Amino acid sequence: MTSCSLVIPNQVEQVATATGAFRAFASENSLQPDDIYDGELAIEEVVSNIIFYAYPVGGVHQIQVAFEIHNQELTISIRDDGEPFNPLDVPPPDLTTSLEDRKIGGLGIHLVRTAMDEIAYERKNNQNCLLMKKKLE
Amino acid sequence: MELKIEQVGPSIPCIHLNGRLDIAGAQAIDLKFTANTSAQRKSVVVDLAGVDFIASIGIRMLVTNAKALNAVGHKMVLLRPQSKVEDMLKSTGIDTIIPIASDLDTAIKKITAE
Repeated sequence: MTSCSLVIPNQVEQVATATGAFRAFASENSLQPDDIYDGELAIEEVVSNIIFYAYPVGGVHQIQVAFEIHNQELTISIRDDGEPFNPLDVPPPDLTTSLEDRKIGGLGIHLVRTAMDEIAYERKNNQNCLLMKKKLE
Repeated sequence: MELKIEQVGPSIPCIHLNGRLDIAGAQAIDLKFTANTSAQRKSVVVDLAGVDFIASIGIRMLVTNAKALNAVGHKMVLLRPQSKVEDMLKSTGIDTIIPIASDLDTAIKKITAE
């Protein structure tokens, strides 16, 4: 199987469902440990960000997560119908400040940018669509 | 996610973490970690050798408690992170604000050094 998709509700416990599905997919496709880590990290950060921030008025929503491998490249696609949010607009965190001045949040998107080679965002059909790619080792 | 506490020096506890510091893992130990680090108001070694995955929420837990300790004149030192976890700590600049040690003796020296 070189592709897999699932739909999860916007509940924090479901982040592990998405990362677990990716781990199983990655194992079946013999991905290297560093690639598994990076893919899992991207899914963990993006999906948890959606669950925590995309639905300020709450309610039950569906998040679509899909991954595929083609030509030695991993593609992860995540869609949600929450508030419009382009993670590429988030400025990089200041990583040079002292411990006292260091901001606690804002590292998730930075980690995703570090883990993946390409990230593209579009707002389409009232959905946030995030496409992330990584060349496999 | 497991958390175990061991005394490794005079008034220096070592918190051994085992498992994944993802959302589920961090939420499972957050209160216990805080109770045994910043709430104790003394310097602490945090052994990461058993942590095979860390996400931003896990990094946030470390930084929050290190900041609280620092504010009252104490230190946190991270011990023996696995290579990929260490990569995450370095890519977020955490290694510049919370020292990382590769062995326990070095960790204790970093705590006791002025």
